Amino acid sequence: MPRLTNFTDDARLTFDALKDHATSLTTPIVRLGVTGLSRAGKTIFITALLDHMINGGRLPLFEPLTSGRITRAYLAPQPDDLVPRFPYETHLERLTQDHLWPESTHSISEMRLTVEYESDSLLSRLSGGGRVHIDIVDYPGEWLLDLPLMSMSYQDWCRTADTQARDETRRDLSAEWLKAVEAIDPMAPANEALAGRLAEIFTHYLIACRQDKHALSYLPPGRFLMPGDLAGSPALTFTPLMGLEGQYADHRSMAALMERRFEAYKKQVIRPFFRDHFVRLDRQIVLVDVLNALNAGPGAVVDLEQSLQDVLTCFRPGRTSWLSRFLNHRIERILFAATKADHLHQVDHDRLAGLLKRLVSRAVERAQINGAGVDVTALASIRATREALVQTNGGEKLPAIIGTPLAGETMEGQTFDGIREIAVFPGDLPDDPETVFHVTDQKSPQSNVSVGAEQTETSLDDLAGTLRFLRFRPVKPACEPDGTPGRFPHIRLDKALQFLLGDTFQ
Amino acid sequence: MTSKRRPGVFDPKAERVIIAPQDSNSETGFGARSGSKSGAGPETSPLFPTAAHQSEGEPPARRRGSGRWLVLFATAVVGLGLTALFDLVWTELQAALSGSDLFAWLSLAFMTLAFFALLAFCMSELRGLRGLKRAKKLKDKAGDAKTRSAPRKARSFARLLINHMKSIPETARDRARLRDYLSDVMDANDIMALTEKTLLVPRDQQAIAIIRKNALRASTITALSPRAILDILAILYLSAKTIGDVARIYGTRPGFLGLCRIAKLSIMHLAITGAYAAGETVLQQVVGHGLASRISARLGEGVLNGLMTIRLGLAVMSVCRPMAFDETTAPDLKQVAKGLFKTGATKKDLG
Repeated sequence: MPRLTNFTDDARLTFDALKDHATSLTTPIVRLGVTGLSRAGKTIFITALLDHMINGGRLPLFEPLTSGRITRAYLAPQPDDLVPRFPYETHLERLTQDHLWPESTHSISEMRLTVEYESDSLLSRLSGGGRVHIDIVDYPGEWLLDLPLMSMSYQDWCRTADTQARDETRRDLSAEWLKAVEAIDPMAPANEALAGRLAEIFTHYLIACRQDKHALSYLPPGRFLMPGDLAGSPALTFTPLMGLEGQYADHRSMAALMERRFEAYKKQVIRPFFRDHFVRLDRQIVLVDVLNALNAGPGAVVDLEQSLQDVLTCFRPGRTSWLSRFLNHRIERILFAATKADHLHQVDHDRLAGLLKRLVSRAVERAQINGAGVDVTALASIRATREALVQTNGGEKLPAIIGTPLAGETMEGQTFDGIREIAVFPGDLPDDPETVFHVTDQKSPQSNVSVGAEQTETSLDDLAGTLRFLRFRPVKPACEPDGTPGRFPHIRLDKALQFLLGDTFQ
Repeated sequence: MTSKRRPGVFDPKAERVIIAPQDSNSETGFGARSGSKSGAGPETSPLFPTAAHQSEGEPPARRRGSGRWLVLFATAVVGLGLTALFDLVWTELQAALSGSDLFAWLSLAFMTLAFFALLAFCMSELRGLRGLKRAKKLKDKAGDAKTRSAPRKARSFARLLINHMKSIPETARDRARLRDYLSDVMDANDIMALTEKTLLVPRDQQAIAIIRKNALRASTITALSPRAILDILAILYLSAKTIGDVARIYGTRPGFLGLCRIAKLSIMHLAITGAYAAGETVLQQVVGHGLASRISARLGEGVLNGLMTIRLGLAVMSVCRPMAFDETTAPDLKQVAKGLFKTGATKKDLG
């Protein structure tokens, strides 16, 4: 496992943990890490969680709430003065008034949810308590991609970026950048203007990779895609270079400049972000948008797998003992959740979860070995569709979903306006998750046998043509009988909360 | 590889789109299966299947023997009785029609009343038996849904249970809540757990309270009664009452025949589980009994009778409950008996 904190960090973390422990004697703090790449649904998950908790939502499987033990939940004042507050009200208004999803997150924000409850056991009821703070951080998912960089040197990074850019799925997208980088001499004296231009081209390449058509996810450094407060800063003017193997770089050369910037980025940008928000998590939910990758095809799925595996090695799951709480904080429970399960009929949910399990198999294994609680599920924090059965002309019954696609979504040559409601059969997910991955393997030149090639053609076609997931607009939640606005419908949000937080209210 | 279905877009207003989200599943049925398969065996209590086989399988064999003559005899006697009754009605009717006799009219009216009362009694008995059968069917279904973990089956079970519980008005709120939640929960196991928690767990607590109350009565009466015959009668009465009360709590209203049937099943259940429970509880019972009987023989009898009532009550619970207990939640003798002799409970329960 890469070591992501240094000695001073550790000392500071231990001190913080002790301080927390002192304060948590009165009110315990649970840090819930909502982890996910961009567009995985972090903001929506947090908004839905807060909405249900604060307004007493419909969470039948979240025992503390249904049994009535939670008396009150409210947003407490911000614990950290330097981090903005999570704009819960704005997001909620956008969802309920405009029926649009929140805009993508541009910078970090944080909130503290305080829950007052009555304990199940007599002993803790007598000892007072009955209050717990839940700290949640929201941040742009792109930034998560930085975490694997922490354990890389500049040379390592250049090598990885080079191999990746020449990969089949990216060759077309990276052509311009590759040409520009190959054209310069890394040992030439540093040129600030050139460095800026190279970084710009590199950013364009990363942005192009992210588009829906390709839906690639392994695109570090994250701040290039979502600079946040660093927009325009010189800290972001660097790019991988080529031909550095075995060469000595003069300290005035381009290569040295780039390396310095890269190291500074690691030290000044990634490390504080990681240290302040990720090291001391108690519970973690990893949200993954599998469907978007499936839409784009096997290349995107493999890319997603790679970035997830890399990101997840940065976290420390395991059982917490009283000592490790101070010295070596560990995540006790991890839930891997495939989001946007409402884009599928529920008959396919198990397969979706199976697919995710395969995607994060290594992380699941590691967490289990270390004794953390692990679960994999398919969920939708806010459900935007209903289910139905469609009888085709052939007499076949298809499990479909009904909803209003976002304006601009297209399918079968139709472009939707964001108003019309449609029924969609998105296709059947494969029973065996391996089929989604193996298509690219078969496509590699090794399997040049004629029969094999033929098979490759069909299976590729199969996957490309049989799955299509549209994005839907959020629906207006139905009103309660007494006229108050209802809470958002969801899929398995209650089960997820029960797994993640259920035991903190014991 | 199975034949791939292509994705498609449809207009939800078209007739071929069936929108009712959950019911559509059960109605358009990917095979509407009744509980005909006996694959549910291992999950349900071993008691019901055997009882069912006995009631369906054995009687024909018995009828083929000398019993046939007995049946013929019974038929003849019933026929004779009916003829006499008919004759009586006929003469009264003639008398009434001749217009002179007021008493004839009166007796005719009473006879009609008697007839309807008898009819109603028979119907309620039949309903009681049907209710029992329904409970058994529910239990089979629950086992089936649990083993196969099919959400569709779980949902249809939950709906059946909601219907079954309609006979108890106090569950109205729980029923409404469960019905409301059903569409939100997706996984079979969760649906089953939610159903059990919402509808049955409150019932369990009530059942335990009632068993406890009756057990307390049984031990008090035994300890105080001046004659042995009196407490035998009292215990018989209390046992019947326990059976009836517990069955009603779980939504079956057994008539007299239903009561007998549950009693039989419960005693069989005791016979089966008794062997397992022996090591654990009988010892305690005997020790407890011994200790109490040192103080007074009557008190010892009382304690024993109370414990027996609890055991009977628990057996009735597992027979009448429309879902088999999970191993973790099944109440045991110790748990029920624990609350029995608490002073607080005693005062309230005796009142």
